[in-house]
Amino acid sequence: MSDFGAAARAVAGDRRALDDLWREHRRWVATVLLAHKPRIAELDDLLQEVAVILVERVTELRDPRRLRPWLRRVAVNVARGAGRRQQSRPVDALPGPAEGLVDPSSEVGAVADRERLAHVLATVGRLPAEQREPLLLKALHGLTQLAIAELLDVPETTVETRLARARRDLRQRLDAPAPPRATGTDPWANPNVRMLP
Amino acid sequence: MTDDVRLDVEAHLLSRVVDRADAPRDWDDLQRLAGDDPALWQRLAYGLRDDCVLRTALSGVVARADAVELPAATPVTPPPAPPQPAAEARVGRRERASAAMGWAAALFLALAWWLHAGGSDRGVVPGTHAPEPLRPEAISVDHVASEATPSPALDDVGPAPVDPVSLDAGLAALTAPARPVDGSDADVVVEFPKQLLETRTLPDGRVEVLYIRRSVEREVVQGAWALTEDDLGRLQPVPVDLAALSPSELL
Repeated sequence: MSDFGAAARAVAGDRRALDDLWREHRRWVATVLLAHKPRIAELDDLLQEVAVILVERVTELRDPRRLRPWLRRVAVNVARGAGRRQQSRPVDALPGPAEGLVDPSSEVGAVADRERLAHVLATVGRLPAEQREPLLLKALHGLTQLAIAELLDVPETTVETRLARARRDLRQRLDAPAPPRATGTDPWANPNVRMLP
Repeated sequence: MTDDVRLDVEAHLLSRVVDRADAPRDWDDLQRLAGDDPALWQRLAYGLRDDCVLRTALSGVVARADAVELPAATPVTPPPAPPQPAAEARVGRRERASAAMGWAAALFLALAWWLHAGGSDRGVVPGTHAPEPLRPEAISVDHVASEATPSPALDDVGPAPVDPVSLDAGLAALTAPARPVDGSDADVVVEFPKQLLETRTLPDGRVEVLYIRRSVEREVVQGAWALTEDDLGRLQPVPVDLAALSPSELL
């Protein structure tokens, strides 16, 4: 959390500092959105929404040291707002390969790998958001537990507990017998339906 | 140790290993737990693999954020009284001073331009009284639509009329019926404010101003031709279908 100077300049109205901050933070902001957004909402659209709020409201921030938690709160609210608009269920929050979101250049190539991947993503999507968010922040950005705790505004021990339970619950759910595959419009019915080769 | 407590301890230990936040003592505890339940090592391997799968699958998704920039047009308004450390306060003062100098330069240029180009025509001596405001009737639709031609209009070095008058006149002229073809020059329908390109102070103290004069003209023609080269490189007039041209094309 060494970006106090840049945050102070951004809060004071320095547009270049604000641009730099956004470029530094937008990936984890995307991760927070990913953890909280409804499945149907487009990540890019929600990111744009966060970017607009950041530009319009950042100067209202009293303490530049609170920029990250504030930005994370904005992202959570934007994602939840999208959820309310679409009346989606949080359980369906995380996207999966069936929606074409998986990086086609990733090393997940074999059919077996892709099926496992689809299963893992679907299961992560069914974790509670309070577990899913630190899990993704850790896996995708390698943030320390202290950094995640500052973002989430919770004690570090809470983050450790949430991470441990998220991994344990994920593993238990993955080990459980797979539910019968649904048919029709359920995107998980065929996890490779839109997977790129 | 109850099963619930044991599971909780194991979950914390495995999570620390996955996070690379493990300590030597954690491995002692893991080894002791695995003595009763060797499948713990398999669960550790699964945990590491789940983490890898998540990272591999979603890193590309999150990278899409790199394409999202902050909106450019929305201004950032400074707060009424931001709590600034000394360094940030200096930056703020410097930026405010730069902005003030910019406005002062713009004001100077506008004043110099007005004095040189048209101020004296109105009988205004700088510093004596305010310039007479432009009256809407000073530029009539008739004058613009029927009398003005490109030559006198371009010879006029006075300042461009204020926008509302020009635009009103232009709109009226555009809606007026077109004149019959009589071989006369095009009409100046409306002249827009000049666009400043460059200024240069001359040795005698005057200021040279380089600008673009923008005007809309109207002309009724029988047809138009463009010069193109034939197979032998000779210039040949080729009729142009004016009706098929789009408004933004150059004539």
